[in-house]
Amino acid sequence: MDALFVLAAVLLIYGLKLMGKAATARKGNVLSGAGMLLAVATTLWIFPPKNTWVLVSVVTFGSLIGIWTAAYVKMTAMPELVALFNGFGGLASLLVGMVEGLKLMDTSDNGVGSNSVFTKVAIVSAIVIGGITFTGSLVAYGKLSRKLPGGSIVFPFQMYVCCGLGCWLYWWLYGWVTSESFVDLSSLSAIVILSLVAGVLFTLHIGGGDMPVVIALLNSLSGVAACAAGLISLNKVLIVAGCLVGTSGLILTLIMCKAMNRSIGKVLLGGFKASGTKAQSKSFGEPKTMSAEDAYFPLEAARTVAIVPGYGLAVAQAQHAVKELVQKLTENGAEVFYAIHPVAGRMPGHMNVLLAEADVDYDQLTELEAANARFPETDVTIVVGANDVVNPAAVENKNSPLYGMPILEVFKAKTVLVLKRGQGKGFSGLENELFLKDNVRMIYGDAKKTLTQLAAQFKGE
Amino acid sequence: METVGVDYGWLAFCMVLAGWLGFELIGKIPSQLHTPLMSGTNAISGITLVGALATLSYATDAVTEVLCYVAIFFAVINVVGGYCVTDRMLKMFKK
Repeated sequence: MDALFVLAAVLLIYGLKLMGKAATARKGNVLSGAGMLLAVATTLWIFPPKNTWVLVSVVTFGSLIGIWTAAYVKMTAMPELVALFNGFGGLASLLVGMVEGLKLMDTSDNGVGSNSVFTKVAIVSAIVIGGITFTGSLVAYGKLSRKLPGGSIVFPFQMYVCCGLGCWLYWWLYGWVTSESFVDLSSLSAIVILSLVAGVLFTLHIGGGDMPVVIALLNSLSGVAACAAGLISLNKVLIVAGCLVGTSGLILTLIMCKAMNRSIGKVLLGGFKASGTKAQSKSFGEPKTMSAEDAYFPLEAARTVAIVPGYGLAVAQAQHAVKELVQKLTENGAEVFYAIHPVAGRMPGHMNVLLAEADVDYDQLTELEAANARFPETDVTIVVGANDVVNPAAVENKNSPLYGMPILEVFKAKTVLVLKRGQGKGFSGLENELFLKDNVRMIYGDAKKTLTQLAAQFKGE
Repeated sequence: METVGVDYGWLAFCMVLAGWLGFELIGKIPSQLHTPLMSGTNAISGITLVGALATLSYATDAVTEVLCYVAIFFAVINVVGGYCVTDRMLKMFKK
């Protein structure tokens, strides 16, 4: 039976490897799913359930909810869905830890050496990490789905409250792990409640723009929680898969931080030092505007056109409108490519998913470096709802907090059209010097409407 | 369950290797795949379902049993939903 678990682990690992390439990714996901199924089936074989019907109905009900949600969720809502699912995984680990903790208290069933420090540490790890993952993910879900205010939520003495809470939690944990006797219900419930509160405090002060990093980190944590749950009962497949997710989530977090030019420490401290770098907006001029009607002329004459989609495109649900305009431009004889920044959209790689949904040809998508090489020969660049990722301050202004962040150098194109909802700022809260450049024209208004309008003018011919 | 002592060295060895594997597998992946990857690894982390199932079989009273069922319920949503939505995304990439 151990062999079956080994096979399951191999499937999970090999599946994850295949997911690293676009061509094999789908197969990899299926293989990884098969590994999961095998692990579950083997577990049921070793530990046959006492009440099969209850288990079957619980599993069926959960599966149906999962399938239904997965089938009907909008692609733009993907970040909050991942957060929500992730929270459920954390909750499951928390509950497993709790049940094992309760069993330790049951004096009738002891003497199996399970009251060791090792087991206790594993139990509290599953509870604490699972609890933080659960409520932390719920807060992230709330912020991303706008059920909570998206910005950084700060209250007085937050830092002290967090530290105090951490110490208090540690005090309970220390007491529990080191105590000789069986532990009472009150300390178990205190640990559970404090962990849940800690998860809320952990994410509450982090602003919406940093949420993708937080989700990646929480994803990593849910793997660690699963690993801890595995250590309680020394379940090998749980330990291996948990570690795998734990580190892969961590490396994903670091990659994301790099693409956003944020350090992980700054993200986690978030709102605590939000008000440091504000007062540097010097006298800021007026950007030149243009109407959608006038924008037709440069577009009509253009031979090469670049589209730079950003967060605003996702918000306006304008991916289909973009595709329509691109079609018209191509019919007009222009060569069109999409320049995709690694963090465009609402989470890294999200823009690729959105454009794939709109049936955009995969070959038209250009990654950062390749796109930057092409901008100097591009006649018109259309920026749709992107801001910080095209801010030239990242290469020109050493004092800017964005300095050093890899950006799409759209300002090198002959003409740049910026489609923007209003005169607001990007996530970083900084003015964008791009908008003041001589070759840049702003088209304010709903991106979807503007794009449809532009496409319609080509129809008129 | 097991009465024999835990081989901590062996355990640490497994964990380090598995963790390292995670680093190696994810390190060089193009950014366009990050969203499906995140949702895919998220589904894998639902493996805690296995732990919940094992725990259920030796649940001692009604309270622990109910807690186990709740854990199984949420873990199943995590696993099934996670794999399905990842597949839905990757299906679109193929075209």
